[in-house]
Amino acid sequence: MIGRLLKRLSIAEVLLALSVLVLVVVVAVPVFLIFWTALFVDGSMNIDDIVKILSEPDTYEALKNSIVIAAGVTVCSTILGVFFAWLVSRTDLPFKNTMKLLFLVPFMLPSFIGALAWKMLLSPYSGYINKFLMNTFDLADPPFDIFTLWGIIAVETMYLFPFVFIQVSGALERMDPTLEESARISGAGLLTITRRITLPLMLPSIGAGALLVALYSLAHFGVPAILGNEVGIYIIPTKIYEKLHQSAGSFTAIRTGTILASILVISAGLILWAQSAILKSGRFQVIAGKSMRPMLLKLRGLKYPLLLVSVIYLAVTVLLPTATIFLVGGLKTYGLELTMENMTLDNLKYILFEWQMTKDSIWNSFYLSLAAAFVTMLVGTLISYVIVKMKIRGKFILEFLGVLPFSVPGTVIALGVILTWSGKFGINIYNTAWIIFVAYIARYMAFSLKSNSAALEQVHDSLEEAARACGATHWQALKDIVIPLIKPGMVAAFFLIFLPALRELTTSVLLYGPTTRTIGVAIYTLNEDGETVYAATLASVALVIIVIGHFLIKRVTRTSNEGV
Amino acid sequence: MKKMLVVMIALLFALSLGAEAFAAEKLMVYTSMKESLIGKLRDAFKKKYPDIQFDYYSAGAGKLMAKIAAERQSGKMTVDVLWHSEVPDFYQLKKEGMFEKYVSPEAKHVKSTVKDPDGYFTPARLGTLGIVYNTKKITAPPATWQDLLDPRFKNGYGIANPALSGTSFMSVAMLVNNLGWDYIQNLKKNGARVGHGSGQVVDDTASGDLKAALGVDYIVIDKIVKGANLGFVYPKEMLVIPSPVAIMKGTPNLSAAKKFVDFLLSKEGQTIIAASGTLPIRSDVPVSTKYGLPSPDDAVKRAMKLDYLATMAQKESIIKKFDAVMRGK
Amino acid sequence: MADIRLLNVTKSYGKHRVVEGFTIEIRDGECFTFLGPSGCGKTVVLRMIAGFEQPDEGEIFIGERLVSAPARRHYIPPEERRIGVVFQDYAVWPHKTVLENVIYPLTIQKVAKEEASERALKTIAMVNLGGLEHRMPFQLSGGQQQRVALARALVSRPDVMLLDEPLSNLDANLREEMRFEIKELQKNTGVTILYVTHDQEVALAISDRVAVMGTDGRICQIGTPDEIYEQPIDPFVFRFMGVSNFLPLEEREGRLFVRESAAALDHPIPAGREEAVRKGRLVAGCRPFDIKLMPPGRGTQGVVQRSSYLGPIIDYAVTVGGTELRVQQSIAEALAGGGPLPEGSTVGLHFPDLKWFEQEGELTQAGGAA
Repeated sequence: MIGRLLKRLSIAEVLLALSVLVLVVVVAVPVFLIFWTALFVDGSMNIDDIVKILSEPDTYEALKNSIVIAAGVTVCSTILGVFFAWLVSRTDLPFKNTMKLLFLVPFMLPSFIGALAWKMLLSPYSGYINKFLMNTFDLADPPFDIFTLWGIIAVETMYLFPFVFIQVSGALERMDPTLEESARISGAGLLTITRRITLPLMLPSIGAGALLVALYSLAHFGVPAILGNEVGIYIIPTKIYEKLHQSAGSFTAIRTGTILASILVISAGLILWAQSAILKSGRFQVIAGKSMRPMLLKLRGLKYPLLLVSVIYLAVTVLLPTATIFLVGGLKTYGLELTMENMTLDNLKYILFEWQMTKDSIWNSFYLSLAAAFVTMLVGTLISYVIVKMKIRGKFILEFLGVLPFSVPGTVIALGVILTWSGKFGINIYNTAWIIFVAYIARYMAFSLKSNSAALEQVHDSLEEAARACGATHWQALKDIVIPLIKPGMVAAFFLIFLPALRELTTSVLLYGPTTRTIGVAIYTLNEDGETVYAATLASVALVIIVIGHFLIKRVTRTSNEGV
Repeated sequence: MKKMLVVMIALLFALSLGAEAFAAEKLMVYTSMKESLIGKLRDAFKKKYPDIQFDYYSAGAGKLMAKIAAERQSGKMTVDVLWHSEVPDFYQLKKEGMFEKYVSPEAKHVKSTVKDPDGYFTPARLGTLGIVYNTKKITAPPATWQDLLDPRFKNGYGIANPALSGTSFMSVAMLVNNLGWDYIQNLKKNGARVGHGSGQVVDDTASGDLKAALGVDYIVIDKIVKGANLGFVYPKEMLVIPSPVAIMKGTPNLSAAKKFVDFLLSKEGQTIIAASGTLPIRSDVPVSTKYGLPSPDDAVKRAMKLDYLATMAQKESIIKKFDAVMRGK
Repeated sequence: MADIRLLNVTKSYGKHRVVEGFTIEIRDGECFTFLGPSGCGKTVVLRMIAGFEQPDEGEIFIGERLVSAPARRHYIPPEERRIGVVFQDYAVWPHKTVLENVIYPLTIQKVAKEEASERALKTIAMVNLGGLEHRMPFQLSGGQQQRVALARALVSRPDVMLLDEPLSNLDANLREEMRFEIKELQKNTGVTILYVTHDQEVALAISDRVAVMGTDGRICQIGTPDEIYEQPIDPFVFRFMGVSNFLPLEEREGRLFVRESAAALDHPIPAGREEAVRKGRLVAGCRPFDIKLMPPGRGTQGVVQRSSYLGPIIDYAVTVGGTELRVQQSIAEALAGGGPLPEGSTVGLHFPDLKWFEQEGELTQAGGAA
């Protein structure tokens, strides 16, 4: 019925207008308002003031820390990622395929929960590891302090290195082995080949992965907030949070926030630009599309020691923190020894059934993620369709707007929606779940666009045109041909949004109201309020939900792929 | 068909986002009281008034005030009743005309160090702060404020950040007022640290990260009840901080707000407060003496003096100076 | 059934003008081919007829129906044009079985279920896919997929069928087989077919008429396959129809010489070409098989540069006065003349069947062989 009604209008124009409208309202206006607020005071440009704000010690410190942390995390993640990628794809490491999957597990563990765990393990005097070492070796001072720049870098690296790992191991497997073989024939040793042939060929992939890490760690809130705020180490997103939450929300605070946010947007844009430049560079061409059998390095005597290193690494970065979260979550109160008699299930009962705030947070996260994933998936399909498939004047506007979601970090989106949806344009959804919902759409639009356009690019124009020639209207062709063909892409988009949204912290921590805490926010504020045990209990619930979610995805995406 | 179903489900979820807008009578309390205290009050209040949808937002006073400031800017106020311990904020908001005048019929029973003669806010609890210490690290509890300058507490004493916690700010103001800035400087010399919120310093003490800290009564007692390795003592000069409650001007839920304030000040409400390990403001409510809590009368007598109005004007400078001293090299 | 008329159709992409003032009439029931190099705009014309693209100017009729007239903002969408389209990449829907693919147009037309499946099955049988109704496309070969596409285009009995390089993704044998089948189908159904291809063999084999299009999107020549092959209107058409040689000519003392050389042609100046010869614009074209090899001293003198043995024929490259010619000789003929000519030997050439062209501007002089 609606289809018939819309047929009277020019469908192409309706779709384009709708897509542009969504992107403008959800992404462009918030970002524009951030730049506007940052640049203009009372309608006139004020650069002096910007310089003044940036040179204030606390903003200046935050900028400096951001750079140090992003650089540190990027370097460490790159080294780790490249090493492990090389190990699983270019050596005869035992149980390679299992190890390859296991190296992706750190992705599943939300990094702020990881940070929480490491705080419990490596706090100077109370961290379990520190206490153990101090008792065992009779040390006067704790050997580790997690509340430092290095602590933040280490914890972020643990959970971000898979970005590099995925890129590089994929590229290593797709690399044309004849390039190495021809070098080998000309007499080069394996190390020379690695240094002179393989490594240069991998550089674009390494670079792309490293930039992704840089982007994430620059925009990341959770780890630096949990490990840094207590000791006064701030980075841009946590500084914005502090400005908004602790400086009485004055105009200066908001303005400082917008200036920092502008810096974030610009850096993210530059990083993405560099990444696409690297990926476009011709050197990537030497990688063949098909999987081939690469040359494997014989590890000989190092075979099992290196396997052991990998297993220990994973145990330390994944198992240990997870176990810590579960154990501390079961403690009667924080600071007790981790012994059976100090354990209780009351915490779990309390946060799942009794405490309104935690109950709300689980429910909030659940329906917000579900609604945001569903809507973002549909809108993303629409926008991708217009961008990929339609020939229409004015499309370039959409193509430009379509890039925006990729370069807008979560903190910026949060600040932007506060500026946009606090009554400035007649709609005030501040303090409601709607504002988080709108922010999630903006935050996850990039995921949806990516997944949907990839799916749409697989669908040749002629498939849709064949339907038109068969007498199907545009809508019928969409319904009968295009949508069924891109369904796997849409399902993937849904889960790509649903799961991360379920554990979201960076955006919602700036937007939550009294009754709209998400799981991430609840864990974060519980930790901040000194309810360490409850924070851990809720975190263990979150981990269980995430694992079940990943398991379900595997099931669902497998069956939906079999359908086609 | 299947698609229709999915759309329907999505619509339902979308609606649930807005559903909260349709409840009958609502009440939103912003408070710095932790779940262990406000949660019990909520349960009792809900039992008494089942038709009122009662919600609260629990966070440090600094956060609450920032939230209110942001709400004022956005023009959409969510808060109906404010209840925390940073007394100067109440004078400030009263001056700015943010409060609804309300003298509860229960107010006549209130015993406190603070009283608003104009009836814009009423103390609803007497918070006390003492020294919480880790029983594994400190065997002989400190007796006076000066004891904390002892080498025993070297690099191990913590105070919650006064910028975040109202009780902490009040305590710092009182300590400075009565013991002078020298005292703070000496604390720093002994390696005292600024912690995060008032809950976190207690957890840090329980875990051993700190040896002792300035602790809020009911937070400490809650942990002790659960079995934490903590001890709690009051020096002779006590930090007694009343936590006033006030109704925001222009609230659409005025009658519910009044009911809550009445309930809070009532014997029933105060009994719950007393049972949570903090001091009631009524003398007709017995205090649990199990954890060394003094009686309200005794507390008011031992309390350090403070000129609240003057403190209101100095708030920012005190926080800045404290920060400079504690974070200085 | 219907004819197709394009009047003054113009289409540009940005600054690139694909076709300009394009006018053509395709008769009812004929098989008409657009033949041209890739990028000449032939596919764009087909897509405009189908309605996938809109012309910038001009009018398009299918039968009596005006389907595109941008000046009057008139545009009938593809689904209402009653056409069948077969694409180069088959465009068989991968999520539907053969039957589901073929029955789709009838489902859209709301043909009663039983009639629809009967017609679909009949059409499937017609394209020789009987028995494969319930296969998924990935279980079919390329040729079979293309038959599905054909059946799908035919099943709703369209007025016209538009085929866009439908055979170019198939291997040589299959291509040959399919082109006869298409011809057969057209005979049986009487549908008007517009066929677009760059393959002159297919064009010659199946068409009633062919339009050869130049790289600039203009029609060079329209005619029956015989006319196009035997009487090409210009060097471009001649070259497009097969391997071709060009000899630029000039006149000296009443005789024809290969330009700027001593190689004389034993051919009188053709009637009506005197003007062109004088202006030095006469060019002669011939196919490799239309050159007779003779012992040196007779005919036009040339030097064998290369000889390759290609099974039943021998292929020579011979230079004549600086121009390289491709010459082909059957083995029998070569043996009769004393075996293949060795490289470097001098040979006499005779041209019994020359096509005369007047050169406009520079003729691309890559040896003349295309």
